[in-house]
Amino acid sequence: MTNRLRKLVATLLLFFVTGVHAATSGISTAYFVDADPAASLTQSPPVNAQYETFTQFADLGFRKGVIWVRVVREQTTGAPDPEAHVIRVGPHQLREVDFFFRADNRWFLTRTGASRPMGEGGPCLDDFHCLTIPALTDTKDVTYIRIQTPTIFNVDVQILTRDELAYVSHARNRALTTAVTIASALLLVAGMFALSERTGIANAFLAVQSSIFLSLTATSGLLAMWFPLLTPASWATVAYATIVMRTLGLAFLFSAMLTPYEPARAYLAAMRAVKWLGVIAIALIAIDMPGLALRLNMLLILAAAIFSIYGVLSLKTAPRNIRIVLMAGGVLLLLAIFLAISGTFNLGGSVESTQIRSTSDWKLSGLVVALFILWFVVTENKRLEIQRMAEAQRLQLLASEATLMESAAKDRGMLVDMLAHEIKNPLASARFAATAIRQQLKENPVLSDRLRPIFSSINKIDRLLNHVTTANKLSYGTDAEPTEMVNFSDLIYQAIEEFDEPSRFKTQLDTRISREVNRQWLSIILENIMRNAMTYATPNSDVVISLALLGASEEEEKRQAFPHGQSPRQSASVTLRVSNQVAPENKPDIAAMFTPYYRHPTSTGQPGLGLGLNIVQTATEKMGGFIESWLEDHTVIIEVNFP
Amino acid sequence: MNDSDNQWAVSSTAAPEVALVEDDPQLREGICLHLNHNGFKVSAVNSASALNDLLTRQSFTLYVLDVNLPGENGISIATRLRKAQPKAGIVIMTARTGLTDKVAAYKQGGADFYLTKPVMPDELVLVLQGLANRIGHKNIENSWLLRLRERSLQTPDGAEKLRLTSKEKSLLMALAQAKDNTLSSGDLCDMFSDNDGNGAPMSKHALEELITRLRRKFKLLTTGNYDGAVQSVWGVGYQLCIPVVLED
Repeated sequence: MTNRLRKLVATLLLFFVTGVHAATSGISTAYFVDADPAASLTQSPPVNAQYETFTQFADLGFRKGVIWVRVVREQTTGAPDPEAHVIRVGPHQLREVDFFFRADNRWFLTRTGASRPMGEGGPCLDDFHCLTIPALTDTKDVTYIRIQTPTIFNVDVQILTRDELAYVSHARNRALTTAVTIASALLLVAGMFALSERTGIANAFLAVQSSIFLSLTATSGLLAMWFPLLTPASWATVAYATIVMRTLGLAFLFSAMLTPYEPARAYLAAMRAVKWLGVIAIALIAIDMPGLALRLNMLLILAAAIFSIYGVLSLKTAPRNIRIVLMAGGVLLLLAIFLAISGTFNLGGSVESTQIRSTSDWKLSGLVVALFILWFVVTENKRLEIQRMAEAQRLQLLASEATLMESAAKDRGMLVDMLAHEIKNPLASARFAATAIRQQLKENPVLSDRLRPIFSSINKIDRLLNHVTTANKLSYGTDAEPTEMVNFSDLIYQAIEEFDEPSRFKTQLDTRISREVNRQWLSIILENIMRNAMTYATPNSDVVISLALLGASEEEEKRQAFPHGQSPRQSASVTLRVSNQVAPENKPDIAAMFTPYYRHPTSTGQPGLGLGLNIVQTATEKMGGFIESWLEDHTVIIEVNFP
Repeated sequence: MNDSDNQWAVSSTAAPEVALVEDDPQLREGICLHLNHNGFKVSAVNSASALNDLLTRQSFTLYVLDVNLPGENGISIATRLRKAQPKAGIVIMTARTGLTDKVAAYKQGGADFYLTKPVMPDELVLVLQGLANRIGHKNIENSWLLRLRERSLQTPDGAEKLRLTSKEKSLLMALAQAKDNTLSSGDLCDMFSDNDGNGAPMSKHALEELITRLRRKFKLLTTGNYDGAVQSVWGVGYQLCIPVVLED
């Protein structure tokens, strides 16, 4: 904490010292933009050109040509003894910085810049470019600095004594170290975050922080120093690429944050365009057109910020708190862009102190981005937690409702069972009474015949009750399900024999099929499905029953593998298909066939409850199978598949 | 087949005594009337405690018990009776159709038969006759075994078994119960009236088909020649010419 405070005080003091120093000791700085770089490279400094004075910072933005800076030292009255000075020029990424110092009527040229090894030709202890000029021996001397760079011209020129230089370089190094340390730490955090979360935002954060770290280390010359395999000139080119990558990373991050909340399609299209233009910018750098690439980059970052605000406004499903966070992020990004542009083109004097101009600026270390992401993630997690709780509550409610419904259904089932039970007693009484009467009237066939409807009615009611209780038992029954090995075709033949017209059934049965099943359920299925077919088949038409194994070839292979016994496991499923023709005017409702109590309009006059096929479906599902039905040329086909 | 073979049904001069426990008064009366009419002597009560009183005065070998009774239920009564009279014939007659109820009646109660309401009166008679025969050791050794639940008919030596349809089973039961094991075609057609329609009796042609199918099944048996098991009686109907006892 003490160190940080000291650094802050030192930095403030430095600005004060350099500014005052230039004013009081007769040192002045001025610049001149030479639009004809060819001339500048062949001539000696343009001493007669029209120079414009400036103090420390020359924020010129994108300029075509070469910048000349003139440093004039003059002896003034009352000044202390002349001493040597150091001219310090930055930032580091200025590609060519050449010092012209005149002595003995000759120009001495010292070449520095990002394209040259750090520290070459100068006494700077940091990433800036320096030249020492001896103490003033005459009343006046002039030094020229030629600066060539494809990037933005934001030139920082300081004229310091050696003592001041040590102090300033130290402060600069401390600032740079702090920024790189923060960026490295955040990169580590981003990496861990991406590994643990594996979400779009986590990946985007990693991409952003990587690009920030790279741009910070590349533009300050650290990468070139750490990895001297490439020439400093090549590293300078890489540094331009990292600046574009940082723009892309920010656009990608914001897009990843907005996408889950359904932004407008125009926003997504715009962000796609930004990403592709960013790729083009990197390609331009690769073909040695960094100036154009960085101009494009500036437009992209501005566009990305504006689009982001539009994107936030267009969000369809974002809750209010998330919208606030994202809007704050968009505004923050736009503000940062404004400050950067302001610093680049010297647009606003009033915001001078907040301008983003230095690679050692803490604002560029990714800290703001990280804090913003933290804010977003915390808000999002809080929202998700509330959502999860609401969902859990909803599920709990649904579960309670389901339990209640199940309980009500069971109650209904019990009521039906009880009713059926209670009806059977009087039904039995009626049957015994009718039987007794019939025995009395045995000698009177006419009167005896009158009893027939009573017996018939008793039988019908009994069948209906059995239907209801069977359906109930299948739906809510908790009886154990004893199974035995049952041959399907035997049971089908037995079921066929129960019908009055067994000859109407045409069978294509694989007689070898046996399974360990509940015989009663299978009988119920067969009886109901066949009775349904007979009821709705056109008069005298056939009902076709087929029984086969699905995947029979595999089953056959197993039989061959185990010729003396049954294969260890039956994998093929059994398919039972019952089909019957229906009259063209009878349009079966295939979708409603298995619905309980559904009855086709043509059969409502006949006794029945519409439970038969529903019982078939329930029993099939209880046996682990499934049922399907379809219509083919006036033929209804019902297919039951058993495992 | 000789005449004595045809006399396998209840022929004892002493009417078998049946204790009936049924809480529904109308049904109780109906069952009493029917069983009395078919040669049984029935004592009917409405609860377990009334049965206990009855048993202090009189002993029975046949019991027909309802399950749902006030106080002690039918299964519990059957359990007690089975312990006290291991050879007694016990028929559970209930509206309950659940498997657990049936298992409880057979395993726990030791019932011989489990009939579900509304029971067919003739079936009840036949079941009780079968039990009476079993208790009296009458002609059981050479009898065919008609298993009601399984719907099968087993040869006397137990070597072969015929699978029956429900109509075939009912036909055999009806013939076995009838006097001289003979029933007219008309009675048989009435018995198989159309349950789903207007109660019209089965056609004679359909009855003939049913008999033919049943005879065809007898022909399939390899342990003996049973072609004459069901014979046509000219001008009357059909006669069962083999002794049959029932089993649940």
